[in-house]
Amino acid sequence: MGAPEGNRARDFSLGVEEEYQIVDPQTFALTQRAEPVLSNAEISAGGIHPELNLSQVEISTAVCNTLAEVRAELTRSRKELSTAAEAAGVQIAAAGTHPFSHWSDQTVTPTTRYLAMERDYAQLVREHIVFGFHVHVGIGDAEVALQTMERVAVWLPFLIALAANSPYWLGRDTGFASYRTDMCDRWPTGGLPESFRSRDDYERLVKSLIATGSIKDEAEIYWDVRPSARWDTLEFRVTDVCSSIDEAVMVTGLIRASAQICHEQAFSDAPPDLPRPELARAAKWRAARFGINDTLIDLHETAAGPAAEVIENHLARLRPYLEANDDWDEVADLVRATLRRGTGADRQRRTFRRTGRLEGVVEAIVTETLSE
Amino acid sequence: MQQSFTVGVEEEYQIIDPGTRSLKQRAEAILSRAESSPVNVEAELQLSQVEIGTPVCDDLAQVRAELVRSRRAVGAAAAEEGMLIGAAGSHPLADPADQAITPTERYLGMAEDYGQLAREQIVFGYHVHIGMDDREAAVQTMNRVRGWLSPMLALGGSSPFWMGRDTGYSSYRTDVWGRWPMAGSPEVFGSCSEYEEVIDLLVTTESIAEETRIYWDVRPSSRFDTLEYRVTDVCMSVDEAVMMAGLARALTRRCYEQAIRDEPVPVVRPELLRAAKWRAARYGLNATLVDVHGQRSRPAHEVIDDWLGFLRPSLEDNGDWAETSALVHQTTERGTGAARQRDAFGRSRRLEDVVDLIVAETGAA
Repeated sequence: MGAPEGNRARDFSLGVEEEYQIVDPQTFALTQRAEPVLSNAEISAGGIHPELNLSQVEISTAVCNTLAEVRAELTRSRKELSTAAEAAGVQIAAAGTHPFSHWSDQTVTPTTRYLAMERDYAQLVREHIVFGFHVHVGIGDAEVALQTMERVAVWLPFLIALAANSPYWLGRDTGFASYRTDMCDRWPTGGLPESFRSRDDYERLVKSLIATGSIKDEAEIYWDVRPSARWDTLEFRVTDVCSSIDEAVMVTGLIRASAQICHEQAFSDAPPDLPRPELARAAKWRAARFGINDTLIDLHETAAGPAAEVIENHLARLRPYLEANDDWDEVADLVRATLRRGTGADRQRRTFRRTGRLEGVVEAIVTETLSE
Repeated sequence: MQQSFTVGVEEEYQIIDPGTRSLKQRAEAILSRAESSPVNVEAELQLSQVEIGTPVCDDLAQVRAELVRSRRAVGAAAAEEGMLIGAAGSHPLADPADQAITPTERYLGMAEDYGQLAREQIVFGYHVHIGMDDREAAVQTMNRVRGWLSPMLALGGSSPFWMGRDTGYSSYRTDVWGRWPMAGSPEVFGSCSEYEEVIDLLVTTESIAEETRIYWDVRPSSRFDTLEYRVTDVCMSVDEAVMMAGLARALTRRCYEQAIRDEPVPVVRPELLRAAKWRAARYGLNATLVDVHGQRSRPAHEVIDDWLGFLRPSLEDNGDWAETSALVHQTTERGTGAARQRDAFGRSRRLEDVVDLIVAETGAA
């Protein structure tokens, strides 16, 4: 859960974290084998970490400056981790939820931190068997990072919809494209970040949350986007982990460009035109529910439109930034491929229709996780 | 304009099989048996629940009489079907996968729109309507009550068990209910017209199909000239339900009076408001609560006492002080519904006995 390696990141450098499922190759159920996987892992760069449950592990990339570096890091991390998993007799899978394993069969990782979380949050933690994708975007100035944060809310539904990859829960189709989004919003400090006048204002809030016993430390703030505890990045944690590396690269490119446009707006000092919080939440919820298969609420326009159109409009707004990053061709192609082929959630549902077995869905996720 | 501060209460009940003590999908039969009774009973989202609504009451004595009458009438209709009724925020044994949505256009529409979220709503709430003829005043009052809802939640927790397990929460229903995209604390609104603009915006952007799908902890009712509270679990005992009605009525009056004196709306960070609610749902009266206005953590009984002190002038004006304050003290001494459920489980280690306790308290009057 820490910031990416390295000290002060350059503005708009990238660090990515992915949470993976540990799956039994025979039953395709989640299995509590994080410890042997972690001890087998020989990771050449970046890092590998335990997570809340023993059926998950998290990797972090080194600091990257280009999407090509992100792609190479994710490819290497997934491969090295998979080798370690194989040696432990298990497999890794990248998707926002496991299609059928029950929360009551999972075990919290027995470290001081995670056991304290289980004690404090109780049922909320027990049910929290979800797998996310976190992108750290380097923003050196902490004041500007906060002003950027409040402006990025309008981009989140678009990101959630494209990355949606958690349609199944406890053996059933939830109807959601990203059911994980519903689950993450349950944290008392989950959901969209609010606005802050200044860094002092933010620090006062953190202090008062700690003083009131609401959180133990700043790391228990789980907003969709948050200033990293190490202060040189803005951390996006709103999307499901993607099954394919292509999608992970796409989401990373979109997040960076969204951060850049909001960063520029923050510097312009123009008062932000923020959406009503009720609407921002509704837009997020709709994206989680329907992914790209219905209407999405475009918070820039304060209107609902067909998902493909809303996504194209977002892409057009980001285009100058994607072009400046040399990411336009790759990211635009990947977005359009997703619109054509469907999201991870759509592919999981297709696999289920084809195989009739949720085990078949897990098998397909494992395969995609390791495809380059 | 003088407000009436009348009270109307809605309670959602569980339909329970006396043999297995599990939830039973028998709402339709019970509703048709209750048709001939003079009590207002309606269907709810799940076939294992029914909802009653009292008439508009002028005082707490009437609220009490109506709740006793409603619980008896629904209990009698259920008995004719060989069923029991229970009032608690969650059913200790129920699994969402075993439930069924009420097959009306409205509820099937909700199940279709909300998917898993609707299917998991095996929860039972308590709604209090306080009469306010002036909608502008209702919005200005709502702005001022938001910070006082966590003590109410702490007193009213009755949903500690979920899917056969102790959740650790006093009101786990609060977590489940909070999943609706339009649940949670309302924002502050500058005026009634701003409130209405936001509702229109949510409808035109297809965020909600209709205004009734706003489930904030408190809001001006879409159907009546009332301020409606829906923050608490349904109470096991009639005493507790009467207490909640008295508290909601006094809170409304107190904050209304602040509003007409144009006292400023307290500035509270939304994160803190949410944390306060979460702690009240998690711990009930058994730990510290967040004092939202003082921005600090304090023992639950102090927060409750302060709240009662704040409400006292209005409780007295309403003629409710003696009864409501006595009932609050009774709750802090006996423990909340959640605490009593845990005591019952601690004695026998059987969740069936918890269900029996819920049924017994629901019917005792």
